[in-house]
Amino acid sequence: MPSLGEVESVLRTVRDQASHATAALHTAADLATEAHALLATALSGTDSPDAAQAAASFTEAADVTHLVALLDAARASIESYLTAGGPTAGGPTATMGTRRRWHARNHGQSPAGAPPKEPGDAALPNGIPVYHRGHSTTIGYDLATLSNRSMIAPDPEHHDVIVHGTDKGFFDPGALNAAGANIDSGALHPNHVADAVIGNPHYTGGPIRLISCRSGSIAHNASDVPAAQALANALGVPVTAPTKKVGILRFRGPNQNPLHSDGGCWRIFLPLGEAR
Amino acid sequence: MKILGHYRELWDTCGDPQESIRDFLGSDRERDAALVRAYLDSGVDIISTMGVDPDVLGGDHTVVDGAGILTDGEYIWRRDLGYYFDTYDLRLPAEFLDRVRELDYRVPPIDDERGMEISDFVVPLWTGAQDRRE
Repeated sequence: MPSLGEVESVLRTVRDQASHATAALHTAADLATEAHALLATALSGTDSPDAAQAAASFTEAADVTHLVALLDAARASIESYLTAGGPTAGGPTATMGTRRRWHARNHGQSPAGAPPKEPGDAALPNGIPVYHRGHSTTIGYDLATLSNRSMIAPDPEHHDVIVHGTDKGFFDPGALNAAGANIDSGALHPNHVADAVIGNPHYTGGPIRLISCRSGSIAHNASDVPAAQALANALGVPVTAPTKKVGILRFRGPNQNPLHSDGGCWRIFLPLGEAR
Repeated sequence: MKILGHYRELWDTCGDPQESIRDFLGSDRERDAALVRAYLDSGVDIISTMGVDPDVLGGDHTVVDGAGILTDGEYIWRRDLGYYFDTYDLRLPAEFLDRVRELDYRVPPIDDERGMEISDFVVPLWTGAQDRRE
């Protein structure tokens, strides 16, 4: 029985060979196409069935689309496996009958979530982790969320809430699939975000700053209030939120102020009515 | 530095894009489309955003951090460009595809100095500061 390290080494070799094979197929296809053109020129004006058959063979040789697709799929599958950091239950060392399901779950574009590497301090009803810090509450564990959490400078006047946002009146936390790619975990009502903030033992009831794209706006075709307004209403505190996209610069490192896209700015939403 | 996929629908007014993504749809699918998609998805992060972006062409799909900016050191593009390339057979410039193939579909590493240079190029474009200066 080979060790997992040996299996991964073999997979890397196979992946690299698949890459070389793809390049070789492309070269062969180009040569076949050139040969076909030369043959067609040389035989122009003849009606020999043998010549027609030869030309057809070159055309067939030039069509490597299917083979390339198979190699691409094999390489992507191996890449997903290696990127995921090793086998999961039902990985390629499992039985043949589960291979297709394993690939569907571990492919780069798979919508199926994988468990977060860092366990949350709490979790939403749908299992998305919530991280408590002294100055922030973070919901979700995709790469952008974690980068923003680690790089944004705390604001002494506010408690930061870091979660993916929309201009549709709701939030949309991010997650990761087994291949390590970002995925959308589904719409989240502001009341659930309020519950997550209240559940943070470090939160003492002060104003909130939302690190959440467009949460201070509402799309013209949405029938709700901005997510920031709903959160302010639920918590009974002022909420500051961006009107457009907000993010950080990966190369600027920690303690940076959030960037606003396209002339966006902060808006302050005061609570309306009784808090929940 | 070149902007890949600088369409009105994706960049709002950032950098004053002139072209529509709709004019670049439905090209012949590249024979190595899966590898090009993987290359686009694996660009180095320049800006990471806190949004989930809808399909601007009306599909149901969303892309987490779709408006985030990635790079390979020569080009910058939005994170969701790979989705449009793959889903709608978006036509990309031949010179970009040649570069990707020459690099064997692997994004080269970007050191901190180059990363900051690219950031300095992207920030005024993305924030709209460049437009306000003009």
